Amino acid sequence: MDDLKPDDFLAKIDRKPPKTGWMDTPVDIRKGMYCYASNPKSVEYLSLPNARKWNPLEEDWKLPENWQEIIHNGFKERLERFRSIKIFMDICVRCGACADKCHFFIGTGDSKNMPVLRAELLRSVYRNDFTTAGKLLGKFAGARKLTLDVLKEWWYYLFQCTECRRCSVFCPYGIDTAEITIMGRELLNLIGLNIDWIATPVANCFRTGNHLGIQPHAYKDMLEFFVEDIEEITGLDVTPQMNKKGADILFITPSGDVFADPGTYTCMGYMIFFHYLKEKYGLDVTWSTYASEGGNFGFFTSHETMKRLNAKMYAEAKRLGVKWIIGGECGHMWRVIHQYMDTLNGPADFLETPVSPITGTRFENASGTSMIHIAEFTADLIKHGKLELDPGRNDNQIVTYHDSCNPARGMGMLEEPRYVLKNVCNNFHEMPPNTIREQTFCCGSGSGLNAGENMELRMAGGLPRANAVRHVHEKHGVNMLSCVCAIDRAVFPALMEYWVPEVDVCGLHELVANALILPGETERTTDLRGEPLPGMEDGADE
Amino acid sequence: MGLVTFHPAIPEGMGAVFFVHFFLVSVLLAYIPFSKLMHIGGVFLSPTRNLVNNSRIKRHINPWNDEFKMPNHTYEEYEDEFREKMVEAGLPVDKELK
Repeated sequence: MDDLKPDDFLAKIDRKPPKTGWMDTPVDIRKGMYCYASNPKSVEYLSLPNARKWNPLEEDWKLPENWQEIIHNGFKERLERFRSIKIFMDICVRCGACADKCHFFIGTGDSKNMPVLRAELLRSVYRNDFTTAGKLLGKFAGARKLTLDVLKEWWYYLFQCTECRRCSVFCPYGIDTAEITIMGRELLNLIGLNIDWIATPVANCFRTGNHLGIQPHAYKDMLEFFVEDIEEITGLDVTPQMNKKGADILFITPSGDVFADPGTYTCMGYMIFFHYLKEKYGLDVTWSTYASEGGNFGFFTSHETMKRLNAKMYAEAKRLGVKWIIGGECGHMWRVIHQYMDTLNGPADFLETPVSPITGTRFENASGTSMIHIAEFTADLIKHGKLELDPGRNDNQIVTYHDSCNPARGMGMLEEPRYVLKNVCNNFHEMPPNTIREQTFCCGSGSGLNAGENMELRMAGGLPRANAVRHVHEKHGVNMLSCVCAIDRAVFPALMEYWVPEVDVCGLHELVANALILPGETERTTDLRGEPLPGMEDGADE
Repeated sequence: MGLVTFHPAIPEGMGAVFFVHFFLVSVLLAYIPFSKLMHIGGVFLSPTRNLVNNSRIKRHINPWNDEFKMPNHTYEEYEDEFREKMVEAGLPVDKELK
């Protein structure tokens, strides 16, 4: 991957289907396209099945003896439980509307990355095990037995799907391939076939409250480090409240934001933003070290694991006695909160329907979960003119907005971030319409695939998105890609560096904090990254 | 009409082409139950199509939610493990150090 130039990468994408039929084409597990197998310690810590050391490249995957039976029974149970999977297994007509909508198919040309065929990998086994036609007619009815090779194919391709759901937007039947991937991965987890980039963050999150395994004192240290940075830029002490009982609002954000650039600037953005609201309006917000993770890699393991990690949010809200919760900028975190949280860990009857104490807005859209997205909160403040903003401070940035898949498609938050962006910066340009909003292209590294060892896969999956960015870069001179997802912020820098090196990446609230005029601040000469503000290029050296 | 009322009457002057065509139409009709046209019902059954997007407003009950028995990691367990470090860092704790 290191010596593969972008032009050669593009020339290498081969869209010719293999000569043999898809069932007869064996899986070729290639380095650079898969993530390492899970560390047994992490699997054990979570008491998940079949913890052992294994390597996908080796012949023997060290499966339990009765693995076929486990998968069969697991499949059966899920067909009974999930109407979605039951129907999606039956109704597909293989029309192919989804085929060229998948970023992995566009970027790899591998026909098994067409959503229809990815689903067919499971469907063929479904027909063999559960339908009369499949039992009687076998291959003629598109059925096949679950052999070890089929299983390996499942593993390889189910971890080449980011569960972004773009295909489902185009499916005339409304089939959500993400749902099928979710079930498939859940089945694989029954026999211990996970990847380490998912299993270890889950174990970390279970123990320390966040994916990165940051312990409470270190978490506080990291935020204090930002406090110092912010003090240098603004002259103000924005120390946040931590684990404070009786605060009004609990704030939960993905831990990626406290850990790595450029997410850290977004984190500094939150801190400045909440400091402003505290000074100006007395907003009482606390952070938590126990619920210090918005994201939920359990979602990429199984429904049950998702529930175990997600439980911390409500548990901490209850312990601290807050009224409601604000969630930070994260992708799949919001899919979990939107789609599952209330059902899995509710009812949140100890919380109130969120009401902004500053504007009086009642967030009826979150009356069940009592948790709102920070972009919803900020957009409401701006709409009511409660924030003093100087968008000119972001004039060096020509910004475009990447709709992170889950908040956009999974939850329907399309307008709020745009409204905020248009108010905090003067140069905003949209990417082409078929690459944003509901039809947004995935970053190519979501759903736990943002590891380092599968870089080729990531560059392939991110190609369509990078293409759209390149388009606005060439047309409007865009140099900043904003987004509301911590995984996006973690993976886009590498993607941009490869495909569109002139473009940088930021979160929404980094730009908000740059523009926000704090009461009593010293004259700012740099933005949060230490880059000189427009018109301050000389002043910064004095 | 004759066909529908189960009293088929053949009008005079029908050519062979009609019977061939009629046979093929009948074959097509007989094939429909096995064809992918039957999948059309799925359009209305897909949960992605027929459910309201209101899961943040209203709680949807899952009948087997309680069958998930794996333990959570509670705050008490968390504080027990990290209490010393938390106190040292000046973070509030529920139970003081002994």
